[in-house]
Amino acid sequence: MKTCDEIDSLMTPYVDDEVDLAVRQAIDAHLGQCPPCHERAQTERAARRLVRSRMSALTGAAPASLRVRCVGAVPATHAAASRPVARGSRVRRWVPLSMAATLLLALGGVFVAGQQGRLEAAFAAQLAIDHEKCFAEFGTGHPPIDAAEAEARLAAVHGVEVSVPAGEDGEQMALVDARSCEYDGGHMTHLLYEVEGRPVSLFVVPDVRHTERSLDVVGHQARLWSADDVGYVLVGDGASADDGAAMDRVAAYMRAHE
Amino acid sequence: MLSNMRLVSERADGPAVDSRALSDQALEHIDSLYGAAMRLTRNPADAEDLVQETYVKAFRFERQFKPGTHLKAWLHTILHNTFLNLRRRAIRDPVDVDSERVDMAPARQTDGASPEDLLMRSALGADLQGAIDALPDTFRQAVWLRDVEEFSYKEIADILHVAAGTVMSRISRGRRMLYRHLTEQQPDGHGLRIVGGAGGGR
Repeated sequence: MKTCDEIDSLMTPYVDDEVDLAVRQAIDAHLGQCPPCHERAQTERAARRLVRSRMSALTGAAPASLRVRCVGAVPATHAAASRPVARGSRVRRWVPLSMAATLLLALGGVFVAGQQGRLEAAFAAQLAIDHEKCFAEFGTGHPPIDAAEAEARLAAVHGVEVSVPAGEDGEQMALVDARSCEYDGGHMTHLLYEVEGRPVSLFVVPDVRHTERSLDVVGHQARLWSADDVGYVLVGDGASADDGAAMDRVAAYMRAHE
Repeated sequence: MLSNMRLVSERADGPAVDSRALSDQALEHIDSLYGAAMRLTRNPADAEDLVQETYVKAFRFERQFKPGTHLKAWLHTILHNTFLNLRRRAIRDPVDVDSERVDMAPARQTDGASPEDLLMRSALGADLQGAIDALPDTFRQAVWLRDVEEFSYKEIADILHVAAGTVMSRISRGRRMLYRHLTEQQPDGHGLRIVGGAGGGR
């Protein structure tokens, strides 16, 4: 027969059912003789069951904005460039973006098979995170670059033929950088703009057809469309109606360029 | 989504891919870390900062992670250490571990109902989250890590830097305090206040 003191240190594993049979039987024998310890075991077991039965309600999801911040905490050195970069070029290989690119690769076959809406939303969310990471590293307030020159560099350095919408003084829209993101067998282009001083990204994805749609993803606005088997994803900050209207204007401008 | 990316990245080769996979795996635990951070800070803004700081450290010190060991437990250890450092910096009084008021007296007026029945009846519609948050820090952490995150005693001992026996005794007392807190709510809505009971009975 165990004493109350001996039971004390075993109560939690007993209630959690993590004691072996011999110990369990010894504790059962004690509890049969000792109402306070019996009550205590029942009390602890009840609290344990209650918390565990409500586990899913107790564990909420982290906010999307936090997710973006933490993805941004992944050091860029995790994905070093695999090939040398043309010195001084504004167009660079940008491998951290390969997260989105590999996801795209994974989705490639499934896009055709169905679930298109959900997967496009997931893809847009990933691009929104990439947009956030790129601008966090690149910063804002850069001088504009010339669209034709960016196109030439993308073609010369990466062999990517892409039509780059130029900035527009009247719209306070400036093209500030053009990057190519590599994935197995292809390139996705990331064009960085500043619209009224705020970062906006246009991702140009070859051989993909999106449904035309507007999405609010991880605190960002996304606009998806396709033209001539090229998928376009426009990503900007903000979730308000004003932000949405601004994005619609930028999307209309970009589409007029095609 | 993150798991999709890891599956794909594992197909590629090179050392960069391994570390990418670790960071992807680490990011899968963000909800769990955020829940624990909320229990520690009781404040969404502080919880978000704490989780971000945890990831910054985890990625910086990822070489210290031993492959094959429990990544989630490692991340929770960093989270707790970071929280303690931040709190030490803020020079806030830690909760006195010996200040809790738990005794072996049985709950009152059981009407012949079992403790389980009594608790389930009391907890209907009660603010369980608030009751958990009202537990003193050390007991709340032990109960949370055990009953919500389902860590082993050994893992919790490592996370909290205490002996496994201490972990078990904190879980035991924490569960009893939670039980009493929930069952001793008065009909007029004034619940029993546990030490420093922020967000307790309604």
